[in-house]
Amino acid sequence: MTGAEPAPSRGAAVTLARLTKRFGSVLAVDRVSLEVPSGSFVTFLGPSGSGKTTTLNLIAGFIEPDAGEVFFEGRPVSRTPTHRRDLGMVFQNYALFPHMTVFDNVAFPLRMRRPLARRELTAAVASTLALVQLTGLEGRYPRQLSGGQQQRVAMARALVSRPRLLLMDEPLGALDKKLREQMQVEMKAIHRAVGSTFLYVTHDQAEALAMSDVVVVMRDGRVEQVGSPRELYAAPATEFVADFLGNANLLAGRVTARSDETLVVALDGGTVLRVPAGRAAPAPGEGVKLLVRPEDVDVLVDERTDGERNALPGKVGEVIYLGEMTRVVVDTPEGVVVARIAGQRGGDLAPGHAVVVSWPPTAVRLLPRPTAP
Amino acid sequence: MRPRALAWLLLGPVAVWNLVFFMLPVAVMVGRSFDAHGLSLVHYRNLFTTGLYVSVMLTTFETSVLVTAGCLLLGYPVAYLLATSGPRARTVMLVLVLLPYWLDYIVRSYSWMVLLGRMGLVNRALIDLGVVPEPLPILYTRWSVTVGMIQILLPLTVLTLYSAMLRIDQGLLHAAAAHGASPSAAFRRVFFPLSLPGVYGACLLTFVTSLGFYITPALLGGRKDTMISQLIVTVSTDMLDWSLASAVSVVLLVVSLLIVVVYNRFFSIDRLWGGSA
Repeated sequence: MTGAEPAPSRGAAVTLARLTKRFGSVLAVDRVSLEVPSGSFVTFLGPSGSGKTTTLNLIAGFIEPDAGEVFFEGRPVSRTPTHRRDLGMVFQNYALFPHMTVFDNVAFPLRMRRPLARRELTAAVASTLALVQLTGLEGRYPRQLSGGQQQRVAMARALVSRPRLLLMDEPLGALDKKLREQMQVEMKAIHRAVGSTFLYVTHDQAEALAMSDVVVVMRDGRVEQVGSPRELYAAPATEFVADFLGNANLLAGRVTARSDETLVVALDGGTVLRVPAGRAAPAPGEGVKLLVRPEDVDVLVDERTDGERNALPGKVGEVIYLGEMTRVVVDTPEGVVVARIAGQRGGDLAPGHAVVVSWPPTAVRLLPRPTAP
Repeated sequence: MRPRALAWLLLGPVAVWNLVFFMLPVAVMVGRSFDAHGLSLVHYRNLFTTGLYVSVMLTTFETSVLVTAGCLLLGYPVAYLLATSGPRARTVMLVLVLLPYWLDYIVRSYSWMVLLGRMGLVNRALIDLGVVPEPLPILYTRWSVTVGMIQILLPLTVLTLYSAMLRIDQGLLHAAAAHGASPSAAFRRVFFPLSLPGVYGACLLTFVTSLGFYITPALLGGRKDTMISQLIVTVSTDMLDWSLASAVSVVLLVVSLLIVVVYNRFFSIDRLWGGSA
């Protein structure tokens, strides 16, 4: 990038207040409230049908909310038509104009928003194409480009007028894995360079964790949890979040005793474990689920574990070698426990081996146990 | 069975049918148009040097251009509405568009005579309202032929435009709006240019169909509004000059084919039937 790069624009702060949208009998978006700070990268993450794309479309103004309001910089925008909302948007299928060249596609927002002299227009398009590393294809038509190139054109079109808010609806969904990971890195760099607020929709948890300042986990039209990627992964509030972000071992049990520092939990299979009591630890008698991430679990063959660690006896079910690590699936009295063993250890494990899985009690996260249906 | 053999089996019946009842008669007709006790261009010379015949051909061309333009101007907004409205409104409108199409065009042409005649509904209304003192000569004019033909061909134009517009990704209009285009700018810059292949296709179908119209100009037109199909009938059944009639037919056939070939050269005919170009 050159020194002629325009100064980063300040991103728009976006507020959603009890935003609600119903399609027929389905509550697609159910009282979603959210504060998006200016210039942040916020990702809506959830399975399909969780309401994340509908939320984005409400923010874009393609559809109107049944209740609630969207605010840009504190101003309600429900009566502002889409084309006056100062947006850029990247669509899942890119939605490039097939009858326009790359240049005309990228110049489109500038021509619509601020009339520029030909030379300024050319310069603005060129610098934006440089930003997305796609120089020299100005004269091509979208159908003459690869998927990755089309994706970059879509990015350039969304960025060229330096909108204060950029909306992205699964923009990397159609790319292959390698390109997707490369684009994640570039997307993050572009975000830093332009300073706009980025609102991103994806169902890919790895993508959400890799790029976002804040992740909004959605489920059935509601916000399940909001937090930084680290918070969500390390301290999920619900079983859904724990399971959706990364892999999770979830052991069901009941609290039998509690002291200031320690909680005694009897698991459903009969094992009794001691775990640290958190600030909002459940009282004796309450059902809990223990979350243990696979990377915290160790698999030992015949060593006795020291009493400090939580341990479960079991039998190896499956050993999956993944190069940088090995995934070991162990059947225990409390159900299946998955361990991720880093490096090249685990080569001596085979299905059927008797083992002990263990983890430090500090690695355990307590989750509320939903009452049985 | 080999795919090739299967293809012949599937195509065979219709191929035989077309050969016997279409290609053969056309070939006979073409042959007759060059026949004057030996190979000759005399019928074509007659055709192109007789003022009456030339003016009929010009009338046919002019009327077809007018009808095509009229159908396009009236049909485009309807097709746009069809393509952009919800499923329920769309169904209702489609039925309304198709309803006249299902009525035989002879019936529709006669209806226009009732409407436009000396003492027809239009003239009655104009007289009763005191707009004109005596009936206007609206029937048996170029105008009445054009109006009748537009009404008859409009569903064809609308449906062709509509099917082309359906293929325009509505997401592109969202993309235009998200990047600052007002609804009218989005229409001008995105929707309209993308609908042009449909416009060309609709014009082609409407124009070529107009060229061969017979009943409507015969019923609604005057002597000066004779079109080429009427000429063919007159020449073959009244004058019994089958060779000249054949020559006129060949001219109509060649002009129609030329238009289709030129269209196909630039826009690919597949698009008309929903293929991608």
